[in-house]
Amino acid sequence: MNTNHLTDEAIQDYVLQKISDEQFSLHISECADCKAKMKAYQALMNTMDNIEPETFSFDVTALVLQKIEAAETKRKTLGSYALATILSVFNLGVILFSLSVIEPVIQVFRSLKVIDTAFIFVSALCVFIFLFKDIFRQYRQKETLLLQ
Amino acid sequence: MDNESNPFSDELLVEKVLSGNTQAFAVIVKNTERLVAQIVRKMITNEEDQKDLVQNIYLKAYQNISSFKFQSKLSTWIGTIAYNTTINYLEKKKIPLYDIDLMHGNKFVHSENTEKEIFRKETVQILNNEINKLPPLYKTLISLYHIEELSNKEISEITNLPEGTIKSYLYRARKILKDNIENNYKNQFV
Repeated sequence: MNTNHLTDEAIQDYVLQKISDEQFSLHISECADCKAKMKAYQALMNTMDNIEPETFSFDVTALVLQKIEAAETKRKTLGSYALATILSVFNLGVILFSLSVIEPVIQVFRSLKVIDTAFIFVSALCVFIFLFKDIFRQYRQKETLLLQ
Repeated sequence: MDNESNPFSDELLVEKVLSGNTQAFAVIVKNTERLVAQIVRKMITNEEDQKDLVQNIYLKAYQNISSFKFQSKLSTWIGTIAYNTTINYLEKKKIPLYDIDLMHGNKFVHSENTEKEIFRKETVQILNNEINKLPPLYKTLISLYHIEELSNKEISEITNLPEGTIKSYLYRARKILKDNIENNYKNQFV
């Protein structure tokens, strides 16, 4: 009896048809141990071919798209906060810088009579209301146009 | 699966995703879902953890898709992300990837009903049970090679393990399966 048995690796390769050696085939046909091993591996590989691939028990696409949407919203929100912070810092800088410039303007108003100051203030307010009303009218026109 | 092997299709999908089309990403998810399932489900059994992992895997893929350079198939790239994310999860949970002692000479106990139960089971189910007793890495390699029918090279790209190591692990995994089935089920499996 041949006691020089084949290794498991070699038998697996033979079953997977990675090697086709005549001596190998001859040994298998003569050696009962190796033949038994080969049959066992053959049964194993054949059964593996019949295994159904596993799938998830939940809807992966819906779950993933939900997560992506949440991540995108979070990213946009963080972006908005970052932009708001930058603008606030910028505005604060502008205010601090203009404090020195605004002082002479305040001096001009202080030197005027109350009636003159009130006149300027009311005029400015009228212009502001007029402009605001015009912008609002244009906005309503565009809105009506878009909703038609 | 055909779409995955078509590089043009990969390029087209990636291009669409980069232009903000999330539906194109949904197609990528559909195309790669089976491969990701083979990796995640073989290593993680808890369904809630699977959900978290799958979400993280695809979110990483979505956020880093601009870095995909078409040097491999898109499915292989996503497979790599799935593998690395799952391995990191196992490491955090301190679950050993390949603990041979856990499974050799395994803890199969014969009860009175065992024999009857065995005969009722299909051989596929028996094998599935035995595969599930393997260490996480072996389970994944067996699934990728025998069920997903990936080559050693593709598995190597996904796992970042040398092809020689993959071959060696596959030999060992098959031997463990054969020995355990022979010991536990004897004539059932011929």
